[in-house]
Amino acid sequence: MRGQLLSHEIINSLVNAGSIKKFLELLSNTPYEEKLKKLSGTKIDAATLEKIFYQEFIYRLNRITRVAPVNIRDFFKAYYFMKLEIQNLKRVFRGKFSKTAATRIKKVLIPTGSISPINFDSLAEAETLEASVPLLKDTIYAPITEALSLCGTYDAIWPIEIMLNNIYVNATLKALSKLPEQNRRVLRRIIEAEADIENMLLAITWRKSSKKLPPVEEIFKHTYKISKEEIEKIIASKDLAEYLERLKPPYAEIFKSIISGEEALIRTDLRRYIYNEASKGRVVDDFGFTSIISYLISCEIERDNLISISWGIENKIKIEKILRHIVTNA
Amino acid sequence: MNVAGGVRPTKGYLFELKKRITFVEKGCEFLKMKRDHLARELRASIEVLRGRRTDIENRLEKVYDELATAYLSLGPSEVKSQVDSIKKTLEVDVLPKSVMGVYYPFVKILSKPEIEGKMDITLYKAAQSIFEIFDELVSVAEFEARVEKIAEELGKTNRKVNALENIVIPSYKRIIKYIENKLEEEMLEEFVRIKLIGGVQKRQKE
Repeated sequence: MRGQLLSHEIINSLVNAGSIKKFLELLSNTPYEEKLKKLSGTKIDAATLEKIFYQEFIYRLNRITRVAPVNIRDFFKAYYFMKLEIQNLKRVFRGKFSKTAATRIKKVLIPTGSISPINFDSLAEAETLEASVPLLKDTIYAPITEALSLCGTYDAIWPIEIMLNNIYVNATLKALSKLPEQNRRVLRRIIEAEADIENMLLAITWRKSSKKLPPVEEIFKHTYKISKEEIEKIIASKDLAEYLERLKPPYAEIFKSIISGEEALIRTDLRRYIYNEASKGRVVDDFGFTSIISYLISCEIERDNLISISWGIENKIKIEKILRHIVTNA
Repeated sequence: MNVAGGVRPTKGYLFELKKRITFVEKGCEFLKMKRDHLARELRASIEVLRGRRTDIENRLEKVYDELATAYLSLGPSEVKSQVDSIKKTLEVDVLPKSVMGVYYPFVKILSKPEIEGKMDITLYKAAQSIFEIFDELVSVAEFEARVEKIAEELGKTNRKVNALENIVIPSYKRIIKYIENKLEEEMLEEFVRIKLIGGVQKRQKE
């Protein structure tokens, strides 16, 4: 399994490819070859490649989920499958909110294939946002109907997005509770860090909003190392840097890029943190569940790396800049 | 204008032509003044434009860098999706403005999209940077259109002045000269005729 992952040397040569044509030549000597063959004759750009990288990730995920024991399979379905479903749901609802054409919405959807029973095309083709949300009434996402009125009040889509995040965290923690204790520790740290960081990013974005916002406890349902009170302070703070400098690890490390004005590196640093946590788990147990999780996290990071690299090469971005946004084990 | 054909060598026509040429020469002087003023305006505008373009290009480079960062961090599909969630689009009105009779477009921004708290922090930073320079970008575009129109008008005015100075006025002067010569000839002929007739009559009397 780990043999399928691209080595640091291959990633480096992809970054230095110089053109999409060369990038594809290098990639055709890797496990992505099969997926690339199906595209022969069509125009290949970064957007098409993004779908390929997601398809390969889903293929690897499916292979493991199919043979995993029930409790582990349920966890993977919650942590990974739902994550992809929610990404798609957010993209559909953003488009419906701003009355974007269904064809345009469908172009940015992740090709989830058989891992999701949700018909995203039907959601995208609904007349309005209010018509699309009830289509989820028989799914775990039914509660987002309650967020529709807030979308109208604030003329924004974030109430639905936050509710989707909350549903995700609930489902993931519920699935996590069914795993053996020794398997939960690493994953709990990762899930809590992801939730805390999403909360922080939202709070930092809201600092700049001139509108009156709803109470913090209504919106931020899941907080861990960064409490609701701290989130309120962030939203109200005049000097964000002073607050961020007082954060404890790992958040101090992840948010240092805001102080230097490089907000985009937060996600890269979060991925790096997740990768390191998963790798630590492997040190303890290189054959069991933590090894599988480490492999899947590496697959996820590889996917994100390849998406960044292919877009960077297509748009002639400097190599040093691309390298800053990818996570490798070098 | 063919000097010989279509010209009436009469005193009345000569008088009319002299009036006309005075009018044309005055018009030519005014056009020269307009040309000189437009040329000065153009020179000054080009200098200002050069500076403003350099400044805006530097700021745009920073904006493109931030946008590229958002794409690298989030991926192209996520960026497109977040951008699509912004409801209001930019609304502008393009109105005509004039300087020295030269019309150029003036852009009035009616409304801008609201982006506060509506997208990921990375993309928001790039969008904010774009809107910070947007007014200046529109202003530079207006200025460029103004400079283009001034240059166009300067070209037209210059051509008119050249046509008047090198073709129309010299042509009128040639015609005037021709008519004056013709009238002088006729006067001389008349004088000689009178003298001859007078001489013949005198000899007849004797």
